[in-house]
Amino acid sequence: MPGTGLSKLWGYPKNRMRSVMIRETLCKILPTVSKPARYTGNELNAVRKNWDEVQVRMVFAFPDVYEVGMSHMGGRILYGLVNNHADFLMERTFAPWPDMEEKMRENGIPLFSLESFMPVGDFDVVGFSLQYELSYSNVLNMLDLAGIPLLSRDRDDAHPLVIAGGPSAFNPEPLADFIDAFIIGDGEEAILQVLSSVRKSIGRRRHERLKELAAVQGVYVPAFYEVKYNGDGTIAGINPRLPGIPNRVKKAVIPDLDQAYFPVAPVVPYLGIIHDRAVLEVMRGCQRGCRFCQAGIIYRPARERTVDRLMEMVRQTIKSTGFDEVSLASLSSADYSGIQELTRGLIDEHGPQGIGVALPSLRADAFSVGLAQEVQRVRKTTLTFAPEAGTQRLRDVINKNVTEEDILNACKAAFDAGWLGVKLYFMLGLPTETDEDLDGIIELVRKIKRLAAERSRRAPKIHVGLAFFVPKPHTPFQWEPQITTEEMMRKRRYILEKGRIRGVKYDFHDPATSYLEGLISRGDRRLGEVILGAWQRGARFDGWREYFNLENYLRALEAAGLDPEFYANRRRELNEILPWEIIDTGVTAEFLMAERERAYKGEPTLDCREEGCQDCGICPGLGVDLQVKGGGQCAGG
Amino acid sequence: MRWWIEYEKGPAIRYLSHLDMVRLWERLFRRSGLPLQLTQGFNPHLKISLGTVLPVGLWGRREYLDVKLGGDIEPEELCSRLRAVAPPGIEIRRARRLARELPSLMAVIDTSIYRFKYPASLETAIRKAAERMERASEIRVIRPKDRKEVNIRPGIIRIKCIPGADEFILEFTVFSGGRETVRFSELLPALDEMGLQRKKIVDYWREGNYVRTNDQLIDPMELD
Repeated sequence: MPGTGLSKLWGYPKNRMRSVMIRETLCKILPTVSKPARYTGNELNAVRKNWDEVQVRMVFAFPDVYEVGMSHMGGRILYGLVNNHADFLMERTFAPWPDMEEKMRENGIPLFSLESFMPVGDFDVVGFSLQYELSYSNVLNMLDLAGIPLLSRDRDDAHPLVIAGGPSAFNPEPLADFIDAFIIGDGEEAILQVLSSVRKSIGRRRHERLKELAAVQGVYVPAFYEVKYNGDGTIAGINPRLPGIPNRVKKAVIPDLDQAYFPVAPVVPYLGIIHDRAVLEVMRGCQRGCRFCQAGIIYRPARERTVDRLMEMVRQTIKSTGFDEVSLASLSSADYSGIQELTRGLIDEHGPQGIGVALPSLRADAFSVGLAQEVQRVRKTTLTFAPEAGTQRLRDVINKNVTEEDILNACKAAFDAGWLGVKLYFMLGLPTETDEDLDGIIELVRKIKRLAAERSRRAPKIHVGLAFFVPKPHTPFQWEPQITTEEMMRKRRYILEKGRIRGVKYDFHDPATSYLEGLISRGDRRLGEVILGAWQRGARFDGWREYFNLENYLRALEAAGLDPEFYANRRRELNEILPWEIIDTGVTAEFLMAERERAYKGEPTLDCREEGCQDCGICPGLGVDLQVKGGGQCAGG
Repeated sequence: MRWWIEYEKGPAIRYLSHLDMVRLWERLFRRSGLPLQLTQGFNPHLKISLGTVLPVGLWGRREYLDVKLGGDIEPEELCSRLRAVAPPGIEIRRARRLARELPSLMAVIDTSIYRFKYPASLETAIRKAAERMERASEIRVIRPKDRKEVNIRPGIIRIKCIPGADEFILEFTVFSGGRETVRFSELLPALDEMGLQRKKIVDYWREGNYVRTNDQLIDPMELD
């Protein structure tokens, strides 16, 4: 089939037969798969380094499809950072869509990288990005497609080192059997230290290399730890097997974000991707302290960039990419202290060229609506707010420091400014939730609907997104049971029956998906067998509705003799050893327990940027500081 | 100032859709730093329109776009500014400043040339098939779009055989505007019929796009 042009274009590397063979076969199969441009690479700003001129070759492996993986900011950072280093190279690979996987297996093409079309198994390091638990089956599938033994213990000196990082790595245990080493925390400095360690240990035995790696701050090598269990299935102890291995692994942290590397010439995809714009990380971390939020703990402390540096980053990024939109990313961008100066500066400088600014994470208050109004280009779409819970009582429990008045004012401001609808996010199944809280959601939605009707001649649209709460490791709710899928379905019915309001649309997360996420996210290393079993039964792309099937996991659990309720629906004792305790986020267990107590009492814990230190332990624990650098006031404080 | 630009959409980016190409050009122009003209309104975009649309999977030697730019610049300088920021796969060939108002490229281009490259060993079979198609009064194919049977013979202006060293090229000149339009996707089933199945094809592409006046094919860059 037509493809001569492809092999001509992909001329490099000529001397590597495996790459040439992959390219030749690709020419044959690409015309037969959906969205072939996912697999052809060669985008603007992609970096193709000579394999013979570097010492360590790493491939960044994202366990989802190209359009999702390319939207991920962390990958862009690592890609630029590693390729800036003369001795290292980093290429990219993504999970092939099932139609492509089938063709690859049929034609004997291993998983390959998008830069040199080399087999993933030929790299020195394969690094997976773990963004959510539902991508774990894809991690296994990608290892399998790469011809790398799935189990860490089955790999020998010739196989790549398989590492992983990202937010889900903060409970590494469910993947402990498959990953040689995890990087926990900020990757900017850690990745270079890891690759330097790998370079230093070239030619040595795998075991020795991993021992070398385990000395880097933030690196966790699960094989060096032994987990013992009690009769009731809880953990009796997690102990290092070797001398010199730390009892707990402290996360890696970038003390000064403003000085940290940020890519200003990211790869520009040809395909439309999920977040198709320049992304600017204005700050990392968030001090709001919502008690359900894992990101709020694991990315502490909040560190900001300066407005000057951000303005310069945007200038360079637009010049090198031609993107027409800049997204100001962080966990809560309206909390960035320089947000007004930055958005105004960006609009003044780039607005006339038709370049827009996007604020993806808004708070439910009038200040945020004001910001949204300043940056909006396409008027009269929808604004999104996340009250998370329907009553003040429950919002106090989760420390969502927003009042009904804030929410209503935000909606009022939005409708007055011409928005035709709002999207509201809530969580169902939060600790202490009763049907009164569900009534609260309906009541709040009804009030907002009334506000909208008073202010707009056209029928306003109100979308209500409802997710089921998943208790996450390292949060004050890490000991809480998750509600059962039956209870999830009951709450869904309750809302649908009692909340019928004209012009209001409810959209629920899938209970089975939420359940699996809950089960894996607080799992221990015995779940490795389950993930393997589910993959063997066909699990992949579990985050995609069309492929997800809970049965794969339930049957694998049964075969492994494990009880799903033990992981998902059980209230853990405060003195229980939790699988993820091996990871030290810097936030103390005492703080989490105190937060849990305050949650039950409905007591708030305020933002330490405004109200002083709340003793979470992060700054003294990691030797870092809060960094407020945007110059302005802490907005909305 | 309004410009027509002739470019190659190379084999490297043959799998890009029309929408991908629109995005590619907008970004390319923005990187160039040329004085762009924006549409009015809440969601301003560049005044670019792609005059020719290639189906996914096809590359094109001579494709065209129409763009409005501010300021004054020489065609050669415009080309080199664009070349400096073009992604792999795009080759800027020529630029033409429109001195007077001309209709849109999309409206004037009505003829296209497609080429199919086969191994040289198939020469005899290709020549025979070409002759048969040339003589036929009807070539009926099932149109992939709506599974309807259509006769594409009236839309085929010329069939040509071009011998090469290792390969042999079969070339079709077809109407690409008006009622008798023959789409690329309709040529493939015709070739299947003739025993020149698509799996034997080494490569295919669109060689060029033209404006037909009095049976003459005029290069859009020369049109007056």
